[in-house]
Amino acid sequence: MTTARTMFRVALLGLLAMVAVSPARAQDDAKFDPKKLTTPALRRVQVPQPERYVMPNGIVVFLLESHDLPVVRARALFKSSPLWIPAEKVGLSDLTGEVIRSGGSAAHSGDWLDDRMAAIGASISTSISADQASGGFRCLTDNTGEVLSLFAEVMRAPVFPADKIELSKVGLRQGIASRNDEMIPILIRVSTESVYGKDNPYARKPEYATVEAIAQEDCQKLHARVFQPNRMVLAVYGDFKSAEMKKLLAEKFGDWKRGDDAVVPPPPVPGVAKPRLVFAPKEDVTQAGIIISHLGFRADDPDYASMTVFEMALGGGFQSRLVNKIRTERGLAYAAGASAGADYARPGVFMAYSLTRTDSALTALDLLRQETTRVTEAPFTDAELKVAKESVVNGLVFSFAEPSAILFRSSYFELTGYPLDFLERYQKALEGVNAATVLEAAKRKIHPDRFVAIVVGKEKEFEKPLESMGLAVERADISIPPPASKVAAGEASPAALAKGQALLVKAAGVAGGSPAWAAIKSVRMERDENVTMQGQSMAMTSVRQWRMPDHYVAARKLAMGEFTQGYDGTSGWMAAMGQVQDQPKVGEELKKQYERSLFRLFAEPGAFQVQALDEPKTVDGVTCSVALIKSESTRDWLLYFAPDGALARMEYMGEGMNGGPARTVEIYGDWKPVGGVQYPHSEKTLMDDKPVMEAKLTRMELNPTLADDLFKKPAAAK
Amino acid sequence: MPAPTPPRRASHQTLPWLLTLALAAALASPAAAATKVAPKAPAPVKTGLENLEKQVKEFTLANGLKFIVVERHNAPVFSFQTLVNAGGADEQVGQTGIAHMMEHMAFKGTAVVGTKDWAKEKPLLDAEETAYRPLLNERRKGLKADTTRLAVLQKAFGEAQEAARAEVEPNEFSRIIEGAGAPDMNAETSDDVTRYFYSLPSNRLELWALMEGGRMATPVLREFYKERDVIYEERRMGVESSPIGRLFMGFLNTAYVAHPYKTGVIGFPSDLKSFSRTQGDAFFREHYVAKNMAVAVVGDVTVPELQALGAKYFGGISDAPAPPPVDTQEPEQQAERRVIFEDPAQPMVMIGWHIPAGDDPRYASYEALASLLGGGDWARLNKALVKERKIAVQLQAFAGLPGEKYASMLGVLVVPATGQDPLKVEQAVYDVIDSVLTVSPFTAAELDGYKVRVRARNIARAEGNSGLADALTRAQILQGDWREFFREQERVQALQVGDLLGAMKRSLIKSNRTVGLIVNPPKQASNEGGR
Repeated sequence: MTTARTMFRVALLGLLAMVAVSPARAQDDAKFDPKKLTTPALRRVQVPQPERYVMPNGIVVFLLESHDLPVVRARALFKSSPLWIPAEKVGLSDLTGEVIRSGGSAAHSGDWLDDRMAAIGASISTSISADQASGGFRCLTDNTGEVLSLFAEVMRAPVFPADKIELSKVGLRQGIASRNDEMIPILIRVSTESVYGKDNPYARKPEYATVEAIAQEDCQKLHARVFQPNRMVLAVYGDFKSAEMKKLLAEKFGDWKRGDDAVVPPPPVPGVAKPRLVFAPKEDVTQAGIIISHLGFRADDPDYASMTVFEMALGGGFQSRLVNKIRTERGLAYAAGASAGADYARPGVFMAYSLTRTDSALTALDLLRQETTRVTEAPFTDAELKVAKESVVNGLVFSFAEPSAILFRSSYFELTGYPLDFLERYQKALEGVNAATVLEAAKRKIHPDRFVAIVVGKEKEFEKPLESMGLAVERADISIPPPASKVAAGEASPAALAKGQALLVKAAGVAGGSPAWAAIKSVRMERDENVTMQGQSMAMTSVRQWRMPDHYVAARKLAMGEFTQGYDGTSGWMAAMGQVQDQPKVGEELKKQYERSLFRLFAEPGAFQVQALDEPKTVDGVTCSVALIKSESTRDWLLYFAPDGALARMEYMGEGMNGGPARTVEIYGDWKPVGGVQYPHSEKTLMDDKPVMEAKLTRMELNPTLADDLFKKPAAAK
Repeated sequence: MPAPTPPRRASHQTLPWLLTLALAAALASPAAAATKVAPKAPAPVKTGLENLEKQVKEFTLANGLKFIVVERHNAPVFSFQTLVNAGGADEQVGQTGIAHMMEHMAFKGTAVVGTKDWAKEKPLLDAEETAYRPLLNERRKGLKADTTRLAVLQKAFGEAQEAARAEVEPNEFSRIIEGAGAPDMNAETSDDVTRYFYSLPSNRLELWALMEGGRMATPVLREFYKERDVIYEERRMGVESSPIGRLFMGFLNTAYVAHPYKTGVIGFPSDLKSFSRTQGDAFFREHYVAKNMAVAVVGDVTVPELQALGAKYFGGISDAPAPPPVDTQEPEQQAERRVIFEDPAQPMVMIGWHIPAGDDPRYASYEALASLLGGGDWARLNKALVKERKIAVQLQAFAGLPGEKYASMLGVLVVPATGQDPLKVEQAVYDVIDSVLTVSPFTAAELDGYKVRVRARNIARAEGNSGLADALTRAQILQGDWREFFREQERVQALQVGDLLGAMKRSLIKSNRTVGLIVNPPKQASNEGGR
C-alpha cells in the first residue's frame, strides 16, 4: 500500500465512507528517493555523419541513408531577403512560396499533383519566409524517383496560374480579416511591430491593398531571384542508396543553370526601439497577454552558451524562475516563459511573457519586469543554475539522437554560414558556463532600460491604470484597414446607363420586339444537343417545357437511357433509370435561369440596369458593343451585341463541370422566326474558353398548354 | 460596406443539369454503383512495418500493468508514454475538470519528491483539507450563506493552504526530470485518456522508473487548490478568450445531451471552484489502477532491465480491477441542433454527425469517409469549397470527435473565406455530400489513395520514439492490444466504396447533425473591414 493513501481519509461521492488504509512501509519511501540513485555514464554512440558534396552548378548536397523504414525525406533551402518584397506587395513571399507548389508546373498542374500525392501517400511542399525559402518532399521508397522528379520540376519551373494566385489571395485576405480574433497572434504581431518598428521589413504585414497589388510577374520575379541552384542546399534522408541518389540528383538538377544574382543583402536589422508600454485592446477575453522584449543577438555570439543556460533558468521550463514566481507561487498564469533572443541568420528577439487573468495583468507585468531585471543584477541561485545547466547539457544528447535531425541541421548551418560542427563547439563552451558567466552574459545581453512592454487585453478590467507602470504608454491601433471598394468597369454614368438600355431595347426589337416576347407565357422546345466533357462527346435529344417563371421540366434521351429533371413551383426532383430523387436547390437555380433567359430579358428590358462599357470587344472577328447587367439575384453578367443589334453572346460566372466557378459564354446564332419572335436556333456554350455544348433547336412551340401534372415529381419506377 | 456577392450555385439553363447527367453512367444509385466494385482478393498487406512489429516486446507485472518495449539502440536516448484509461468522459457531475486536474497533480511529486519535510507536510495537508470542507459547505448555501462565517472560513482555509505550502519543495518533480535532460516533458488529458510522456538520455532509465512509478503509485496531491486556479486560467486561455474555443465548447454542449462527452475536458467554472482534493484522491484511486493503464518505452533500453525496474517501481500501483466504462449512451438524435454565436470574430462553421464508437467494425469506414470528404487537398469538400469555389480557406473533417472510446461524431470544421456567408458555406458542405450520394460517388481510386496514406501515416508515426510509444499505448488501451496498431492497414484494406456510402447514408443526415456557427452580429455590417 502506498504512502499518499494513508494520508487521506477518503470521502467517495460525498458520503463520508471511511476507508481503512494500510500503513505505509518505510522502505517504499526510501525506494522512491531519487537522490539515492547513481547515474551511470552515458553510452557513447557513433553519431552518423552525412555525406556532403557540391554539384557543378553550386548545389550543396547532404545525404544520409537510413533503412529502418521505407521512407525518403528531403529538404532544399535557399537564402532570401525581406528586402526583395516591395512594401506595397507585402504577402508576396507567402503567396509565391505557396503557389510554386499549388500551381505546379507546365507539365503537371498543382491540382494534378494534389491528387497524385494523395494517391501515393507522399507530399511536396514549398514556402518562402523572410530570410529563406524551402522546398521539401516525403514519400515511400517505391515512389522516390517519381516524387523527386516532380519536386525538381515545381521548384525549377513553376507556372503560377492565375487561379492559384487567387486561391492564395483568398487565404491571405481571410488571414487579414481574422488577425484580431485570437489574442496570442495579436500579442506576437504587436510585439514584433513594437520592437522592429512598423515599417521594418520583418514587421510588415499583408493588407488588403498589398495583396491586391500582387501580380503573376511578381511571383515569377521573386521565384527567379530566390530559387537558384547556386543558393541551394539540399538534404536527403532515408531509404535510398547514395550512389543511386547522386545519379538521380544529377539527372534532375544537374542542368539547372546558375543564377547571376548571387548577392543576398544583409538582414535589415533595426536600431534600438524606444522603451515604452504598448497596449492593444482586445475586449472578448478574460485573459491578458504580456510580453517584455527587445532585440537579441546572433547564435555565433560568444555569450551564446551562457545565454542558453540563462534562458532555461529564467523561463525555459516548469522549474524556471518565471514559472515559479508567476505560476507556481502566485497561481496567476497558466503560461509564462522566456526566450534569450538568439537566432542564427540574424539577431533574434529577447522576450519574457505571461498569459494571465485580466485583473492581475499588470501585477504579472510587474513580476516579469522585476524578475527579468533581477537576473541582470544578481546571479541565479546555485540550485536554479544547476538545474538549468543540467537541463541544457543533458538535453543536448537529443540534438544527436535523430539522424535526420543531424542531417537537416547540417544543411541549415551550411545555408546560414555556421561551421558544421557548431553544436560540438557549443557543447564544449557549455562546460565553462557558471553562475558568473551567466550573470556577465545577461548584463551584456539583457537591457532593462530598453524593455518594450506589450500588453493585450481588456483595459477597463485591469487592476490598475496602464499609466501607473512608469512607462510611456502607446495605444496601438490594430484596426484593419478595409479593402478598397470593388471598382466596376468604368463609371455607371447616366450616359452609360442610357446607352446600355438602348442596346438591349434594340436587341429585343431585332428579335421581334418586347410585346411579342412579353406574350410568351409558356414554351416547349426540342433540341439536338452535343455535350463534351473530359474529352468525351455525348449526343442526346432534349425536350424542355417551361411555364414561366417557375414550372419547368426537361427530359433528355441519350444512349444509356432517359433523364428528367423538374420543378413544380415548390419542389425540385430528378428521375433517371427508375430512380427518383428530390433536388431541393432546383428552385433557386431556376430563378436565376429565368432572370437571365431571353424570355425575361427581351420581355422587359427596362427592368434591368444595363451599363454600356466604353470599349467594344472583338470576338470571332466581329466587333461587338458590350454592356454590363447588375443584378440582385445573380452575379453581374455581360451582354455582347453584334453590329446589327442582335444579341451575339452572354458571358457570366456559372458553375463549371467540376462544381467550381467557370467563366461561361453562350453564343447565339441562326436566328429564325418562331411565332411572333426571332429565336436563336443554334447555341454554343464555352466554359473557361473550352467548348462544352452545341445545341440545335429542332422544334419550338410558343404558349402550349402545360398542365400542372407535367411538372410533378413522378412516382418511383417499380 | 456590404459583403461582396458570394459565388453562387449553378445558373445556366442546361449545363448543371447536364453535369448531373454526364455522370449518369455511374448513377442508378450510388450504393448500386459501389457494389459493382469487384471485391478484391484479400492480398497480404505489406505494411512497411513488418520488421518493427517483430521487435515489439511486452510483459505484464503481477498487478496487471502492461509494459510494451521496443529496443532501438542507434542513439543513447529513450521515450516513454504512460497512458491511463481515464479522461474527461469519466467524470461525475459536479466534478468536471477533475481528470485534467489529476494530470496536473502528477507533477507535484510524492512523499519523497516535492516536499521539504514530509513528516511536517502531511498533517498540514490534512489540515488544509479539513479547512476546505466547511468552507465548501457554507458556500453551497448560496445566497443564504452567512457572509461573516464565509469570511472566517475563507481566511482559515487560506492560512491552512499557506501553512501546507511552506513545506512544499516547489516543482521538484519537474526540476529533476528537466535537469536530467528531458526536452519534452508534458502530459495531456483528452475525453478518453490521459497521457504522460517525455524522453531522457538512456543512462537515466532508473531515474525515470523511480519518478514515473512513484507518481503513478503514490502521488501526493499537494498544492491542489492553487493548481485548480491554474486550470481555471487554462480555461480562460483556451475557452473563454478564444472564439474557436467558445464555439467548440458550445458545440459539444449542444451535440450531446446524455453522454459525458458533452462537457469537454476543461471543466465548468463552478466545478473548478468547488471540487475537493478528497474527490481528486477518490478519482485517482478508482482510475489510476494498473489494469487501467499501459506503459510503452521505446529507445536505448533492454527488456530485462525494464522488467526489473518495472517490478521494483511500478509494482506498488493498485491491483484493483479496472473501473467499468461509462454506461450512459447518447440517445439517438431526433432533430437537427444548432448553436449560433454572434461574434465579431471571423465566421466559422462546425458540423458534426453522430457515429459509432472506435471499436465498432464500421468505424474504419467513417475514418476513411472523413479523409475522402475533408482530409486534405485531395478531398471532395476541400476541392469544391476551397480550391474551386474559393468560399472557404480551410476545411478539415475528422472522425472521433471528441473521442473514440464511446460513440462520437464525424466533424467538419470550415473557415469561410472573408465575406462569405457562413450559412451558404454550410449549405455548400451539404451540396457536396449530396453530390457524392447522388451523382458522383467516391471512386475506387480515391479509396485506394486513402489506403496508401494510412500506410504512409503509420510509418511516419513509427519513426520517432515518442510517436511509436504513443501509437502502441493507444492501441493497447483503446483497442485492447498494441498489435492493433499494425493491424490497422488490414482493416483499411478491406474497405469498399459501398461501405463509405453506406456510412454516409446512415449518419450524414440532417436529423443526426449538430451545427455550430460563429456569425457576425447583424449590426456588424462588414466582416471584411477593421474593427
